[in-house]
Amino acid sequence: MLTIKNLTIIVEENATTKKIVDNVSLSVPPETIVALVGGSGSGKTTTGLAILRLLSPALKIERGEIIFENQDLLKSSEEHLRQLRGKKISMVFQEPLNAFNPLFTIGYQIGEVLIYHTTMSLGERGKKVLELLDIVGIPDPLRIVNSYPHQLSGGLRQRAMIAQAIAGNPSLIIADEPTSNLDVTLQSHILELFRKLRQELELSILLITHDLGVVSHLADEVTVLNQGQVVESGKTKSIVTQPRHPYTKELMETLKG
Amino acid sequence: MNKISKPLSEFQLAMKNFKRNHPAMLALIVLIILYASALFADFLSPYSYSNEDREYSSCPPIRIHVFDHGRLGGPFIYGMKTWFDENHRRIYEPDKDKKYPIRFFIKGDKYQLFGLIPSDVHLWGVEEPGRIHVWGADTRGRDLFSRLLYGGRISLSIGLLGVMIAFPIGLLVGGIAGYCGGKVDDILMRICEMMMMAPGFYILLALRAVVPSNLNSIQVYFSIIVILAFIGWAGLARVIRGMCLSLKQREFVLAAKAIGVSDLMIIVKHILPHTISYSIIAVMLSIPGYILGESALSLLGLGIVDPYASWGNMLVDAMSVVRVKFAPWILLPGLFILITVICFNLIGDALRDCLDPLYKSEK
Repeated sequence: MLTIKNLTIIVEENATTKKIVDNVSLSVPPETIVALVGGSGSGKTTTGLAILRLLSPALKIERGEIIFENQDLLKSSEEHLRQLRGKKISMVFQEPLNAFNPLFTIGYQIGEVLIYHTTMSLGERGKKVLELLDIVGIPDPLRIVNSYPHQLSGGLRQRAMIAQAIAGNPSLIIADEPTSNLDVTLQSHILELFRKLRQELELSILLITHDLGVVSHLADEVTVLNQGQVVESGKTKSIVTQPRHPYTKELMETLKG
Repeated sequence: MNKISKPLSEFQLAMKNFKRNHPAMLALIVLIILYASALFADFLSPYSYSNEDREYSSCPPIRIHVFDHGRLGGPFIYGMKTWFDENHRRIYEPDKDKKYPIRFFIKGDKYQLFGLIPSDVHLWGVEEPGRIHVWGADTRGRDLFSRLLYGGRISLSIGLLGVMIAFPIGLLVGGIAGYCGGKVDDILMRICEMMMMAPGFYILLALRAVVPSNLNSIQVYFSIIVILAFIGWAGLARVIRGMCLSLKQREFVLAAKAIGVSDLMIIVKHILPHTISYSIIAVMLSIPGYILGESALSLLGLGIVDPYASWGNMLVDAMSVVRVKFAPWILLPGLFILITVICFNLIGDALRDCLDPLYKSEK
């Protein structure tokens, strides 16, 4: 469904160019959870943002292809991308407190996706938002819709963020460190939710994380990035049990320790 | 029973602080009175703005009496005796033989309330042939009190309408410049700087010269608003642009993009609302500029012209020192401009204190 081929992203600094993402290829088949694993600075978030073409202007895509539904997103028009974002591909951010606009209620911001991608009336949108909150397992949705982001706990906020991500009925969700800021119990709840959503909504998920523990729980396939380069990829089981590349081994060691 | 009261919202907190600021509350009340009296000028004033009687040219303020020969009576005024002195100047003196009781809901000049309801009832006045000029009359014998109320309509509304035009432009231009950055930012900001570089008053005069002079009063009124707004947006645009530069780095902007919000909607819905507290303050502090701008244009005869009243063109009378010396009451429009400007500034300062967390006054 999503295929990235030879993606190279550079940043130009004082006449020298540095490769942030170097010749990365990966693919996300339908209804699978693919994990993109790497330490900080490995280019995993940059790759995620590049799929939606949301990179900051300082970063340039030098070459490569990002093919989604038989179209190269790197050659798509801005209007086509806008239609795609939130509707076909959506994103879950690491810190929902920053990703939600503090001036608007949670309900409004989840419904905003519906404003731009559907022709629903205000009443229909309200109903749909309550449904979405229910799907992601938020208790007392009537209270939550009228709350502001800062009034919710971290776990509820992340669930609301996921509700926003699935509002447009996308086929792919890019989840950028969705559990890093949550404690262990909440983490497993959110991971459980992702697993449930994948089945019920027939989603593919590109999970960006540094945490191999999360990966071994959730992902079907893994791609390991180190300093912008793919060092290893394959089925989760084989990589977790038999890591071949030294960097992957190192990551596994930290998990055990 | 749930005894815990709901925490105050940011807006309610700000209002609470605002109410504690007594000068600002007073200013607010004064402004409400001024605007209300301008709105109901037809009804509240005894005469229309053009009702003149040359016999009362530069008539001094007429005193309202309540006691008649030591006894309490209804309020009344004396008629005026008038003659010319050796310098051919009119001298006025109350004529104790002619008493005109003040009547309420008296029939007088015809008008249409709010431009809709035809009526000729005035709140107060005296029967003909008496004339009541509580704050004196101008050189053409028109009631200054009435003309002040009518003049307030133009002078007070021009600030609000000007701001209503200039602010959306300033917000949008600043928002687009800050959000887009790069060349767009450069071009828009250079335009802003050009607007701000030249002394405002000369642009005002130049623009007024461009607008044809054979306009009717309503066209003149709107052309003044447009001219003032044309100068007013640049300063706001620059500040908003700076705020947008930092706001666009926030993650919620990226998140909004990621759900497919268009750039223009991101600026309008997600970025500009964050500048609201600054904008409200800037609006309040810029209204006086519009009022003074209109006054200056009208004073020079380039704005509202006789017989229509605005505080600026009423001051034309006061340009002669001799007239001010013998009829100081014709300076009253100036006093009203002063009061209005001070009120807006007090309110603007108070709003800054309670809306802008970075600008807390030392207590």
